[in-house]
Amino acid sequence: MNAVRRLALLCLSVAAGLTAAPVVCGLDEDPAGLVRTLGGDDVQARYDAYRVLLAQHPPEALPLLAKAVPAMPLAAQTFGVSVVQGYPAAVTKAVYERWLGADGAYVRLVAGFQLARAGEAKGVAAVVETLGQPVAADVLSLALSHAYGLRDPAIVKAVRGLVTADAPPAVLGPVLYHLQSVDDREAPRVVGPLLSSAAVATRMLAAAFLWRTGDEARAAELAAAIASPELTYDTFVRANGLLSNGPRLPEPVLAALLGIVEGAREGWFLSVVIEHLGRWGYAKAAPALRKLLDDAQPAVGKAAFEALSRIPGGLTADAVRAILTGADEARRVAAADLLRRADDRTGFDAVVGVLRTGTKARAEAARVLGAFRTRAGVEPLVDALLDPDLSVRAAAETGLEQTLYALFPYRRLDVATTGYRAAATPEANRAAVDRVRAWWVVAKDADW
Amino acid sequence: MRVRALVVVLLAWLGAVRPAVAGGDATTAADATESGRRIGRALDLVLDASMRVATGPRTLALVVDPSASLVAAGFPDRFEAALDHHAEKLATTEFVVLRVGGKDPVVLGPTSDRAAAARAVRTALTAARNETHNVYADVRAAVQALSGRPGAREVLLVTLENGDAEDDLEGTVRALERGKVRCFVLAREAYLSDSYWHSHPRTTAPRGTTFTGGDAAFAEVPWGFVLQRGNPNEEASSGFGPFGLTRLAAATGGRVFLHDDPASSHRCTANGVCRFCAGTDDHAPAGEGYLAARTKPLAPSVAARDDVYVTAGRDPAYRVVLATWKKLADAGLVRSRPSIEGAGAAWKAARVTTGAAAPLLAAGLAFTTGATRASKALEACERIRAELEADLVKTTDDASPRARAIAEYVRLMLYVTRANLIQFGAWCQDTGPTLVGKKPRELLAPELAWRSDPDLQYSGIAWSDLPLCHGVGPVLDLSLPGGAAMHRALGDLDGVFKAYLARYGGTPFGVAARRASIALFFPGVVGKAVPLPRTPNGGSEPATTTPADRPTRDGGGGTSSGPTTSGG
Repeated sequence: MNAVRRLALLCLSVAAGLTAAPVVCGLDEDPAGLVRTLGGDDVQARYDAYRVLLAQHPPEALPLLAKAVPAMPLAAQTFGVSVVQGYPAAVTKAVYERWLGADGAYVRLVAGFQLARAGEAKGVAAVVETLGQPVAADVLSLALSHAYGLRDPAIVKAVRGLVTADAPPAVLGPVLYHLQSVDDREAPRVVGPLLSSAAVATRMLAAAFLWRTGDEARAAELAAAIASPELTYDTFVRANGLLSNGPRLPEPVLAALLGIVEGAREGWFLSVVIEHLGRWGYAKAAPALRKLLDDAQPAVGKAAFEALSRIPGGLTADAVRAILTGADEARRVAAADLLRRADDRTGFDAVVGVLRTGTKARAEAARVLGAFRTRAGVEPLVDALLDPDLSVRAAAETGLEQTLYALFPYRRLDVATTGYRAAATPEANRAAVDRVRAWWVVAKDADW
Repeated sequence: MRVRALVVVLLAWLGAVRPAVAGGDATTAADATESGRRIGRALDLVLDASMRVATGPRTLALVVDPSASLVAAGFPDRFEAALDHHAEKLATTEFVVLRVGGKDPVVLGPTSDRAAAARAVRTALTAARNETHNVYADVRAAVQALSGRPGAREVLLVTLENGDAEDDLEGTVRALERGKVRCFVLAREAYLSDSYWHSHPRTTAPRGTTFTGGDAAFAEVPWGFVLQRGNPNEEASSGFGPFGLTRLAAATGGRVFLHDDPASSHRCTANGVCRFCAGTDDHAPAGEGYLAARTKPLAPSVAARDDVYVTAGRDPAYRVVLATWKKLADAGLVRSRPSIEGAGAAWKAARVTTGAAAPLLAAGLAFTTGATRASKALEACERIRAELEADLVKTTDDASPRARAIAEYVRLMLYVTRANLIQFGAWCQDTGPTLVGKKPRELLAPELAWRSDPDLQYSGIAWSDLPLCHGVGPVLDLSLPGGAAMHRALGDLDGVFKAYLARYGGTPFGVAARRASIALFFPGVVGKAVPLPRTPNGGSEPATTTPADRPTRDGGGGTSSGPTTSGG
């Protein structure tokens, strides 16, 4: 047996062990049906089909995808492209060549990038030609992620050509991020003039780009743009890539970010901003972040906890534990979850309490209880399978499956085999839940 | 009050960069390592020599290892900015720039032109790759380039990827001392007593060099425990730079500055997924950030390697480690052998450091053989553990804290191994045969038969990791083979684990313990061998090349799961 064969066998043997998880669901369709579903309007079915195609990569599906993907809605095209990229390069080349002639700019660009990466001049030409025409911002944003690290001068020049004073932030954001990622030395020259733009979004993107590419003096302009009351979440997110995964953010920028947190902006805005404060352990942010620990929006409390855990002395478990006995059940659950993530199980009873008697956070309590992955959580989760609220039942089913998967590494378990369907009424599910209970009585004390 | 504050600042400064002539007084890596992780601060302290060099000329040689990671860290820009910032204080400084790995490493001769120095550094970093280089040869070249220069002579070695490929470390120290050159180092954190090059011996070091690695003079921690997929110490950041680099700085009165990549997500294991995590970035464990007060006493020695061997050989706790390591190797419970050998004052690097672990997993589904082998290995494990514990009780107080930590880590790993062997034996007797259908078992919904496809052919026994990153408590909750014996073993492990972390939490040794794992066993399936595409020369095997690029490693040291450290 040669080395390659041995390696293949070893990989498969190991994979068998690692993937011995219970099969929760699967689409029982042929490749043609899966590809049709992928391009359909049902978002959930599309995602399910995508997962199956991604996991199986059936050879028969490739020609069907080659034909169907360009005509799909953009969201489905991204799934289709992702599936195609999983096939061996030797067989996808023909697909990309076909897509060069497609109507849709997204697949044309993706195909061009892939072929350019393989050294094919026609790929470069297609990209340059497509970028020379108007391309929708969402298409551009999605397509440029496929160009990551591609430093072909003609492509870089074409992308650089999109940097104009009147380019919308939706275009400028991904374009500048790409130019930064390929270390385009020419870009600062064309980006510099954007600092005098009247639009705060353009100024911020330009300052972020210039700072990220080494012009540390631009930190002041960047901080000013962040501190501007005109700055929107939308713009911030577009510049966020330039602020992330790079050098430490300068003090004025961190101070401006803290200003956003103290300014009580929208929760989704805060979560993104708070991450930076935590990443750099910005100690001055600790008092403001502590106040957000029990924020009404769980994502904000979670982000604040995360950030405080990275700030030396930022987080005391006692402060979080104090929330466990608070009046708001959602905050009690969030606090318990925060503690759980730090291996502190003192919030377990609070979560069970909310699941059993709560009024507005029972679904979140079921999710968090599942995340505890503990034996004591099984019975409350089984009880919650009969909750009158569908969202609680669905969360309990997921939580139970995750818990059982963790607790019984040597068993294949699938709650659906009892006939349980979260979408069905509690009455219709009663017999199925009884089966789960009967199994649990036997299994919980069994050896393995 | 203001004067007092000034004195405090001054003392702190003097502590940071001692105004010594060449020749250091650091005894451990903690003494030689600067706190903090910022390149900018490192450059500030090196470029501004006003606190350590009397007025007069100075020549600073920059030895730049052209790695992609250094470019990604923005070094050229930061260097240029620091040159501008310290322009006044650099009035009497001349620069020499060397590129690591070049045939003629000197890319810029002595010049006071700061812009030229910045340009030379930038040029040296074009087409940078993370390759393996012997940086010590380039440091010696720098000493040569500084020879005869008037005034103070200093080297700043900037290498984020190297320091573990050594040709002549002590020769380099002597060259620096003879040339009266103080050596500063900007490097990445090394792994705890790194045994990577021992456990991955197939990678060849550059000609004339030996791979060392790790924060310590040698791989002090027994590695290759049975039923551990990785080596926990190889996944734990040490808090210090590679030994060789620290030695250069410590011996010449220089300092080591560490660089961290931007903080990345925590991962409980470098191998596979964690069953206890609810998604990516879910686990936020306490104790992964190092506490300086706890880490400092555990810092490795920076004496010459030969002296470290002798000190270790005489250390009462490390003698216990060596004796235990030998027993473990003889019993096949580790696939390594002690790194040093000798007696009295004559200790040296061992010639053979790899061994063979007991083959617990026989070919095919040999459950009976597996159970017999597990039982035999367990017997040896219990005996060695008992002897280690008895020896540890007798260990005198003059044992070094680091050697004691290693001994306690070995003890912990024996408790982990004990649990793994008990489980494996029981799995072979009951679970495995049941899963493959050799033993009948009634299945109630929601349980499904393990064998999903009747045509599936099993090829042998495979196993995966269940990391102890969340502690032993969650594992105690699992349904695992082994009954009361397994439960007792896990209960004992839980007690030892908690006591160990109470002492070593917030240190590299604590993180290493959390990277250990309980094994989970599975029947492996026969896979299909996929033929590779025909290669142009007609063969079916791809052409083999020896890549110079460094392997990617998961774990600490500023990569995916490494702790945020605070240095020495």
